[in-house]
Amino acid sequence: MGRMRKLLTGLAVLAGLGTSTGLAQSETLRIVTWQGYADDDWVEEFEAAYNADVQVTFVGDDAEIWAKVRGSNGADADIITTNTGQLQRYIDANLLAPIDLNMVPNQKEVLEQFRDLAKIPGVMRNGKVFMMPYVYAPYLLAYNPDLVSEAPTSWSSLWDPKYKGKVLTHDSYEYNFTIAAILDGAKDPFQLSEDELQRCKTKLIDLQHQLLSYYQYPEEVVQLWQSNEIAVMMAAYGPSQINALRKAGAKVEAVIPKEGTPTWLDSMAVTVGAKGAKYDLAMKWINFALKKEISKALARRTNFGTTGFDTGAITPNDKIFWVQSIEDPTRRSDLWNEIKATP
Amino acid sequence: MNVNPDKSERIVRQFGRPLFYCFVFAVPLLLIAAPFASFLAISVGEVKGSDIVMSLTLKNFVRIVEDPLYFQVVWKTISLCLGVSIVTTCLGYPIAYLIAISTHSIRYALICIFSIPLLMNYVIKIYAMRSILGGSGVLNKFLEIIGISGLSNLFVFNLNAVFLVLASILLPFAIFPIFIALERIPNSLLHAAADLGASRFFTFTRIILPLSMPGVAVAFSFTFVLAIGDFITPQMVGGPTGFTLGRVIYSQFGLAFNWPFGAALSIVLMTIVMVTIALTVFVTPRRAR
Amino acid sequence: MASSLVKLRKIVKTYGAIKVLDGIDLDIGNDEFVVVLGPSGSGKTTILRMIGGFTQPSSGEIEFDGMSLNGVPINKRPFNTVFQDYALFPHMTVADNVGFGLRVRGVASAQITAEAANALSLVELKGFADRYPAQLSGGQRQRVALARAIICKPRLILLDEPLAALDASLRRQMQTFLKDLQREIKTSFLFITHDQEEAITMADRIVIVDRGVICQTATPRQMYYQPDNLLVATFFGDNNLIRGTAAEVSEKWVVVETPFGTCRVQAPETLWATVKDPLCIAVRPENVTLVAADAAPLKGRVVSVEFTGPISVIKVESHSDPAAVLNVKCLSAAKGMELAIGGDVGISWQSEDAWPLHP
Repeated sequence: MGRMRKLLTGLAVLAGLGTSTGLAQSETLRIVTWQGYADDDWVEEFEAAYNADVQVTFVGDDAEIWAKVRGSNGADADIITTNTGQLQRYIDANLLAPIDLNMVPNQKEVLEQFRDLAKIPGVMRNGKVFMMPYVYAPYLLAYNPDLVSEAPTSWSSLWDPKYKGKVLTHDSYEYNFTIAAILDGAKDPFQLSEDELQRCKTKLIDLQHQLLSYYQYPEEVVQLWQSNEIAVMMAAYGPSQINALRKAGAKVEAVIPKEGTPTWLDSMAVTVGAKGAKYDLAMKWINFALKKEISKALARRTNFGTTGFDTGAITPNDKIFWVQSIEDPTRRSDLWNEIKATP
Repeated sequence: MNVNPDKSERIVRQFGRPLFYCFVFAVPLLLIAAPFASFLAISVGEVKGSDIVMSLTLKNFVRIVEDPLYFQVVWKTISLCLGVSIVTTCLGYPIAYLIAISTHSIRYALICIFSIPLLMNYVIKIYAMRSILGGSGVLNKFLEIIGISGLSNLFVFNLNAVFLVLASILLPFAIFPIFIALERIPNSLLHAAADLGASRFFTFTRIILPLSMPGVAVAFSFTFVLAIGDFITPQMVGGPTGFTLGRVIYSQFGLAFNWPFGAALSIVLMTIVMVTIALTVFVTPRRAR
Repeated sequence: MASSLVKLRKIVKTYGAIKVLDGIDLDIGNDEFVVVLGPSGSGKTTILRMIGGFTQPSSGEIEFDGMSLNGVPINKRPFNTVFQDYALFPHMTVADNVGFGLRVRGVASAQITAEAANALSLVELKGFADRYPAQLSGGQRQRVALARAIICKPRLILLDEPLAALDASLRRQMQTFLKDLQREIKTSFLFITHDQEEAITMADRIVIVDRGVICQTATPRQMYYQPDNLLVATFFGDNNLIRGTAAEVSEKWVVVETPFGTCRVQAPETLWATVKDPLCIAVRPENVTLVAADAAPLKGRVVSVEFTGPISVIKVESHSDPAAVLNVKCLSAAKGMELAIGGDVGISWQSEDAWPLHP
């Protein structure tokens, strides 16, 4: 098994997927994150303030982070950022070091609803804090006000026969099930029983008949919106996607449906590879990132919500399901393929 | 170090050449064989938790055969790609013929025109096609204007659109092998046929067509292989009904993290491809090769 | 020519500024074996290609049986061609190659099979019907190409240097074979070659082409003994060209003063010499005999005697002009004369063997 893993890693390196972090000096803080979460000016400011060296690697998907951290047992990255659901398997595999809140004083300055970490599901385990919530965005129900008779308030409008052929949804097995389950009234939309999954499957086959197309990337949506009539859409990229559409001249509004919506929460975590001075430096970065100015700038630049600055993306009345790890990704993916193969 | 120049030269001559050939053949072999071997290995493994375990199981293959879902998708994909290959080859042939019989400047102009799509980025091509194909795109507007009611939305996010986009993107891959095959037919054979009294049509059916069959076979397998391996086009223009084998395979990687099943599906795909190539080679007239 | 099958009149072919053919007139008779001989680049192949219809003349007329062939497409011309590279169809068997012309004409397949077998036996390729061209030797391919050309019983067969790719012995075999075949099937052949020996052996009539014009059209014998000009005189085998001056000119005779003495030769119609004109006398070395010095009007001095087997080559030099040398070939076995190097010798030939030319 170990050999297998080595072989895979070796191939990944051969294929040029491996980046050159292996050669980095031990004083360098290596951050693996998403585009927009660690802009150059912030990195420079941090380096100057703490006389440190920071190396940022941007990733394209979660598999990349997992391969990097898992393959090196944490030695190839010090700080990783991904959603709370994803981070659970890192805790399971003992790849994360707990966060020492005493070293992150700025945590006390974040928005009210993020201050009590115990209230945010998945952040703590066995009384220890394993991640620091940072950036979030809700799944939104987007619509074209010209093409709907009245503003939709429920995910059910995706299934409305009036909009047949004018509906878009994201091609992702995780969240279509989650949304179908929320609409179905499931207790925990991330932990579905086989019964619930089957009911969702039926619903999603119906949804498929409504669709113009699935989309994969936010850029695609702009074009789809321009050359087709789109009435309602599940916006997986949240407010930033709506903003991009508006910039491109599309007429679009978005709401958080009354049933509630899955909301991903990207959190920073420190790997077990960051020890001693490196760990201290990692804590300094997390504290730095939570600064009001940085939170505000990040929110402004990306249109995502941040834990340190209120963008109004979510109001206290909105029903939010913080994204959790799902019961069985393979099962959902198989069912999703079955749905898509249904004529 | 003191090296006898004669000796070292002899050593270079004796071992240099084989070494060079080893290098030349080993590098591509390694680059093809290594990933292939790893795929084979992964395809008999299974996922346990978040790891791939080498368990030497055939259950991934059994699942492909037994689950009607995959059989249906495989069959749908094969028929789609056969259709694409047939159409591109049939369209490519007259174009290749036109290029082959054109004189210099026109020939180069035609070659340039038909190779421009090859120089463009694949995704850009698909995006361009997508704006032509969309509900308010040029093609659909045209179909609406000519007013045959059954025709509107004929090519909007469905299997027809996948077919159309694949056919137009892969057309150059059909044209050029056929053109090269036509180019290889010596002029004297055409003169000989005419000299023996054959009309242009007779010469075409009895000489040009059979002698260009190897090119047709290459065009056919080229387009088939490229079409069947494609997962971007079905994803981008296939809408809810354009679900193909390429997309199933794609879905097994990434977050689903079912590499073993994906690898098994890839091996099925590869087998289809190899069988198709073998069949086309088999049906190509032997003497014309 | 009683009746000519094909007539070429004032054929000119230019490619841009290059004139490949410049006023070709040529007649090909019924059942005649015409060989067009010329060095490469002379334009000989272009003549064949024009008759076949593969190239169009820039100006001039090609006629067949009194009808113009200008603008008639290749496949409507009653000729068949044997190409230099044979141009066999690689994807067809020998039988299908040979039968192609008949298949084009819609002949029933049983008859095609029979006639193809017949044609193959004519070219001595019985039993090769089911092979493919790639499985044949060069000579065999050559004969398949021939069988393919004769099967439609064309009035004229065009052969474009068909033997060029064969080795010497096979080539000689094929020459005889082609000549015999031509007599057997009674068809006109137009044969292109650059090989003089081949031309002499095979032709009923030779046409020499050089730089796009015809130098001479004549039977091989005429070509050899009575050339029209110096170029033709030196084209085939060894020849003696004795330079001299016309001393006396009559309708039938011309007296020429040469470095070896004065001699009288018959004057052909084409000769338009007057007294004091420089003239050349062409005499083949094998037609010269050496006689006793005192009796002969032409004399010289023996320079060398070279024994080459059955024939000996003797060089004789003029007394007055050491640059004038005469080659004499005689049978080594001939008796009656002892030749001493440096000794005087008399020179003689039959009067019809000497041929006057304008230098």
